Amino acid sequence: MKIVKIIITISLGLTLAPFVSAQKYTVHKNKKSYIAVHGGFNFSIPHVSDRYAILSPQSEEMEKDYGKLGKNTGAQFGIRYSYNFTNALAINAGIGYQSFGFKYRTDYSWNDTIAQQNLTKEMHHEQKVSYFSIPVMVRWDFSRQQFMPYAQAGISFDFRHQSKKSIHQDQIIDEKITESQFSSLETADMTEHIRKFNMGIMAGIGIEYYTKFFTFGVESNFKYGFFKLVNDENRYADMTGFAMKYLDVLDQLKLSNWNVQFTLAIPINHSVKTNILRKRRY
Amino acid sequence: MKYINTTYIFIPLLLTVLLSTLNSCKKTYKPEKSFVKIYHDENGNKNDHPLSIHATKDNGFLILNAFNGWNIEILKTDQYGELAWKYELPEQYVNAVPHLISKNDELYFVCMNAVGLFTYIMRVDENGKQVTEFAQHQNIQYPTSVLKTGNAVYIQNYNRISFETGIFELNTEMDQIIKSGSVMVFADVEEKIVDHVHFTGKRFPFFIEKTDNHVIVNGFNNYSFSTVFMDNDLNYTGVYNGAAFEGGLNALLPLSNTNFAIARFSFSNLYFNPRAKLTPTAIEIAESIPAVGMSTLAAENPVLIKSINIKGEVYTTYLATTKSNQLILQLYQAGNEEPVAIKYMGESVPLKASDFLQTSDEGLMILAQVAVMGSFNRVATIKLSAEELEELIE
Repeated sequence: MKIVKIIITISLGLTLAPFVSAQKYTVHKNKKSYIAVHGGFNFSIPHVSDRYAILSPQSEEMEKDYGKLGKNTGAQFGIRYSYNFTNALAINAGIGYQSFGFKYRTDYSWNDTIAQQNLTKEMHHEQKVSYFSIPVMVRWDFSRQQFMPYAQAGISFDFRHQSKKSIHQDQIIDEKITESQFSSLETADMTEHIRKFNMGIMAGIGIEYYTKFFTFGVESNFKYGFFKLVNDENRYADMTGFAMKYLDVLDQLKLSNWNVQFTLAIPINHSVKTNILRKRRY
Repeated sequence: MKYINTTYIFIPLLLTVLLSTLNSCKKTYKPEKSFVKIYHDENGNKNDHPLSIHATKDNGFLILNAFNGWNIEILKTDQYGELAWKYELPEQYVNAVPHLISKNDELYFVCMNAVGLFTYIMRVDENGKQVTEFAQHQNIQYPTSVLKTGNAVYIQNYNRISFETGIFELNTEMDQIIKSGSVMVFADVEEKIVDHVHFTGKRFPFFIEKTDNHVIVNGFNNYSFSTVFMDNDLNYTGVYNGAAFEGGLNALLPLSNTNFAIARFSFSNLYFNPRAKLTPTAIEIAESIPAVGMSTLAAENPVLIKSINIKGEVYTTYLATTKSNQLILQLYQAGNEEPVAIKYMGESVPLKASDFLQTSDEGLMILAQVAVMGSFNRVATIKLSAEELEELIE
């Protein structure tokens, strides 16, 4: 619900922005090009399609407990080029580097009533997957004023760079990471467990402020990964060494992602000469 | 106003798409061609010793397991290794001999009465998800191994009254003994047998193998653990004597005529020879059989030798356990003394080899004991797909 509230707040803000702003200039971008850098943070939402397990039989208590959106953090940055077909409609494309994270938790217990050798294990699994991405999006501006809300949508082509997994293990089942002499943290590369290519649809909203020389703003995009994330061919090949040690095998899932990023753009031709900002007539 | 109207349409649309993707997880578990499964039990007192695995007619697998010493359990899995059911035998049925045998699409195993020490043949009722008593053999004490080849079924035992290692051939119904033979044991081995059946000491690699003209029995003989050759009437023809009880053969696979793939041990050392020549009429020392030392392997754990088929070619395959408790799979081409492929498994947890078989999809199913969290011995299966086997030999 927290996510929904945030999205509604941003949406309302963008909707009302044109009414509350009273600005001196209007923006004229027709046939103009921009180059922009952007960077920010993101939150991921895993959509599990098929579950896999080392232990058999599985019970509900032993299933992976996936972390909520706010815990699955990552970051991204990139550069993009945009070309305006009209004052409102533009296309932009670029290259970026994105790192997505998703977490889950497992716990197990064994009861020894004879030798009193009871054992409980709680494991916090964190996966990071990084891609080089090429987003191509169409953008629609809702205003021609200096504070300009906009929406954009398109597709993103993602090429796997690397992936890592870490497991923090402790002996208290409390849904928290507990540091003690019995706890441990181990990290391993799991790049080969992740598919090399993915593609997603993206849509987002943002707001920018235009000056004569540059433009800055903030935007938020949602991306839905079309393809499965995990390589089915080598799921049990245990390239991390964690399969039997931590009773861990990756589920099959798609990853959605919600990002917030800041943008800084400059016109490719100097803004004064290109005359992007013009005095309002009324 | 044109811009604002567009906003009213676009933003709710975007929100709808966004919220529709926030769905929940599915709960289905998906099968795989290759997998690792550990058969879970929350009972920390339980100590599993998997013994044998056999394919079932529904493409699943049946696992014979000893737990907490000599108690017996049967686990049935589907073709993807998921546990379908398990059945714990009543307390009088103990000491399962580590080979499941198949007859008329039904699976059987041999075990012992806990008090009378005599032999039972048990039938696995897959439909009823249970095990039923099929036959009793009151005069076969301490059964130690079983072999079914063609229609013939052989049981090896140790007779504590007459101090003999016995070999019995049963009729096709497995309820009558039609032939028997024996060799004398002149050392007191009852304590060793008791430790063997209770899993409290050394587990001896008892086995029976069959060639066209001979039955080969690996067991106690004279003053040692020996490999005895007998003719088809179960009369003694020759022997490869072990070095007392600290040397002998671990496993043997007949290849052709007098050619055998063997694994032999000498104290804690293990040796392989995928092309050993043995003479059924010889009286030899097992340690004199030429073989290559496997310094990284543990001699006290089971060694399995079987033929498997990869892309139409037969490979003699050894499964063993390393001293660091990993599994090792070694594949030899016919006529070749050097392995064409070696695969290690279980680098992060202690594993011990128990059994393996080739599956109907030309993969390999390995049965092993795993120490879960380094603590609890449990049954594990590791399935390698046909593609993984092909990659091994490329």
